[in-house]
Amino acid sequence: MCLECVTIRPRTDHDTTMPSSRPFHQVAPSCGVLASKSWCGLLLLLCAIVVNPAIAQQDPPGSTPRIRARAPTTGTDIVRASLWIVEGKVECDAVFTLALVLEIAPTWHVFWRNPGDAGFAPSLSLQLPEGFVAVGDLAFPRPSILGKLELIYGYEGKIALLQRIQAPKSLPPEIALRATAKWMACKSTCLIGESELSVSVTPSVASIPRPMRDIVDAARFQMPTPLSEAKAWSVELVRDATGAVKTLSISGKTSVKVESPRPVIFIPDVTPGVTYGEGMPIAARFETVESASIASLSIPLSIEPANAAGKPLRAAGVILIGDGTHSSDHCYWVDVPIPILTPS
Amino acid sequence: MKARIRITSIVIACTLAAVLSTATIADDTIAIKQSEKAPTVKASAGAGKAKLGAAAPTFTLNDTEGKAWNLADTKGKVVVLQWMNPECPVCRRVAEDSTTANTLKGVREAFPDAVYVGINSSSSRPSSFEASKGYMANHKIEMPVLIDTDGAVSKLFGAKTTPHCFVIDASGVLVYAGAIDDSPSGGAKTNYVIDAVNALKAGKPVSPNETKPYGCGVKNK
Repeated sequence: MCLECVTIRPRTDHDTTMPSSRPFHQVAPSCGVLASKSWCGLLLLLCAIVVNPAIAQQDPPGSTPRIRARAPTTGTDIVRASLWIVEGKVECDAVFTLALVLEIAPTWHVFWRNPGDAGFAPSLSLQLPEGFVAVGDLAFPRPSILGKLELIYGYEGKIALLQRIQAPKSLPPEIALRATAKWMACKSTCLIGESELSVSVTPSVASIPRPMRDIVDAARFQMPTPLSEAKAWSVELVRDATGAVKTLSISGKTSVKVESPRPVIFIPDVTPGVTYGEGMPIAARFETVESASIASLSIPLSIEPANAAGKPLRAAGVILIGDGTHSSDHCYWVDVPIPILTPS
Repeated sequence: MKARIRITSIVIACTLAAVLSTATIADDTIAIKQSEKAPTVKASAGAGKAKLGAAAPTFTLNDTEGKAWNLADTKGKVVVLQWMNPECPVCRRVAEDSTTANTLKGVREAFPDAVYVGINSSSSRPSSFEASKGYMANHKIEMPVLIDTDGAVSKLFGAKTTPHCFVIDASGVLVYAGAIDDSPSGGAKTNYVIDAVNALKAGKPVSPNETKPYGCGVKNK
């Protein structure tokens, strides 16, 4: 029975209006006595601002993050992290969604769950009050393929990673959901960031500020849909004559025209014990069948059960249709268990 | 007199602003001074690329003292190769939280004569020579660091990240390739390198023998 349902006010260790783990801006240097009384001080400030606009910047949440004036030394100088309740409130005995918003400074990137050749994915370590339970893993929206010299799957700009949470049957009058976010941000060099974040539950109502809402909405729109829910797509494990799984075969009807194909790409997840052939990500072939455009992906698999660390073998990844800029661009999540045939 | 003070103040103010501006627009990479006198490095790779379960390709590299180091000279000993880059925050993390030192200790406990070397292939970065020496000294990690200036050995082994680890058994066969442990951000539960050498000591197959490495990319030329 729900004894008391309360609404949520997003909060971090700073305040609600500036829910950042660390501001990007650098406060303008103090001018001291010179500035306090003399017009010289005003001139000094004016001169500094004209020559160096960066030092007077204030970054409200959701604005384009700016790197501090001096060289960044940790990932918190590059990425502003904040935590939000997507639904704006928590209801007793219901599932709600926690959003980790990462606002990344221009030209830097963070990583998808499979970072590619190097890097590592952002993580959210939850310290939940009694009765709250995480449902599933941290969900990542569709990644972009970045990098020239190395293969990078990740994000630039502003992203939200989503974590579903099951609320208890009764809620105390005030609680705080705490979490530690960690990430690696790179461009020509890399930095690691870490932030202690929290969202507090209070009786007052506070919806997510518009800029954050936009980031979360974009992430939800770009979350992969399970391929099993796509009626026009099929997935199959192809075995060789000995029964060994050799290929993950995926095909489906798309809105992508054969005559002018836009990318349909498979990006593998990290699946211990199952590795994917060289040349990832792999692009689809197109053909027209009964006036429908069909995309086919044939993904070579290499399976080593001893490397699965005791976990079930699976082939998994995302299928990106288009570049994510069109309303018809979809993103599917493929996750296929691989049963190991025992010799009869 | 007052006018002179005012003019001087304005000049100082503008100079200060210009200095700050320079700091802003400067590339925000972490600059580590390096010597241009790094030892000449030549990798003399054996035939073929490294492959799990097969003999590891031999190579020769100079260490940070300029001394040639040849994998073939380690015959009969377990060898661990750990790619590293002092500029990489993940490498700094595995040094600062003693992951590398503990891995070295664990390997030596299993095989006291084991050879554990670091390899720096990040030649295109402003690091390599003096930075590698300082890195090892600062963190009191006693292992030679080989300088793979042209990245030939990283390509030979398929090293993609720093740290990326490879374990070679006493017969010269590559038995493990992958991450040093199971946690990129620290607090690992499993150290794959120590598990691999312990498996070798117990005469068991190394499992897992391949994991996905994490860290910064090995920046080859």
